[in-house]
Amino acid sequence: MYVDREELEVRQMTKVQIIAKTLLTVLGIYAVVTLYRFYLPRYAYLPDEMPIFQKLVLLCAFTVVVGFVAYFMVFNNNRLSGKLVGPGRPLDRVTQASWLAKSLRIGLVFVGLMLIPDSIPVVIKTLKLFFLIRTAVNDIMISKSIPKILDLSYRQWLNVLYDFLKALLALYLICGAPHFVRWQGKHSGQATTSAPTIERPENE
Amino acid sequence: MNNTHAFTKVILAAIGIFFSIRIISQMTMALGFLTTNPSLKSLGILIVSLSITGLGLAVVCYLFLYKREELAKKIVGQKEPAEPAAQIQWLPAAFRLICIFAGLHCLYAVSWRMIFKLGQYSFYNRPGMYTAKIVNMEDVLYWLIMLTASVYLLCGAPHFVRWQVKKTIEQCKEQQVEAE
Repeated sequence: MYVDREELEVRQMTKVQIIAKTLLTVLGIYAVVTLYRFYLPRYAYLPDEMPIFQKLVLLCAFTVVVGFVAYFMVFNNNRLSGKLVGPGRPLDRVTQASWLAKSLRIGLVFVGLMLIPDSIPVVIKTLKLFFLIRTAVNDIMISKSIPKILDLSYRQWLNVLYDFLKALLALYLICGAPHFVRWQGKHSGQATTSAPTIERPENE
Repeated sequence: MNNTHAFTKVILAAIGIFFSIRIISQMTMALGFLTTNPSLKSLGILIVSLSITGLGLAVVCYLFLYKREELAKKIVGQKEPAEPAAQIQWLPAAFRLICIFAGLHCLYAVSWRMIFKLGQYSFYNRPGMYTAKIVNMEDVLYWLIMLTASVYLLCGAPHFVRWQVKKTIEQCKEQQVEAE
């Protein structure tokens, strides 16, 4: 397997670069959550006459922008953290793997705990839903109408979905996001130092 | 005092200053109650709100600025650890610090909501205004859960930290083996 020399430099990280990477990940996740929180109230001011298709297109366009933020700050932040920190003495692969796992987990647990105050109402509402299921089923069976708790507008459904996904994200982050940390470990440093490198052409 | 102690002390002072500023900004909101509805009841609510925020401010300043040395010792541990343990000593300390920060964040959120509800009560509870049911069962449940969570987190969340440290070390070993 041949690896680009520049790519290899990105994957061999210093301690400070790992800390920068963790901070970028933390800020990226926080940015994604906050951007959606700001978008949803703005969404309320869109005219009611606007077709739902256009609203969905706007939502998708916004999601693409947020996706870029997430891609460069959360998932592919090695190059950015390298540029922020500058050169230094790289760690060996084993120490790097250990440092990366520790610092990422600390950062992710921190974000998860910060999301607790917004997630508790979702948990309470979900618990409340269990007590309302009987009434909802009665409404559907007897009066053949949509139960009050499900009779929400598109915007309200969007808010419910956002809150629910945020609560799930908080729970996953509090657990230390093991899959994400493992993936970052693999993405950031393995199978590089043993692989031969090729030089990037001058005129590229 | 080792590096972890010094680092912990700095972080604790930063947490103290950060939350002191947030609490002071919240105190000005409480002063608005009296201006919206000047009455004896509003004055009572203002005094209660200022007592809650003032008590919070006093506790934060006392623990995080004045007694941070003792708090840092409790977080990191007093004894100098043996060499292999020294390397992982900062891990539980870091988890405990973020738990304390999160505990204060939760306490701030719940006190803000309580004061907001008091403000609503003060604003709507006057002649000619629609008096809706301001505090419901959901709010009380939320306050109870949040208060419990914040007290647990402020105590350093011992079980959670122990579990996180165990899982983190397991994952580190796993990733180190993969890297080799």
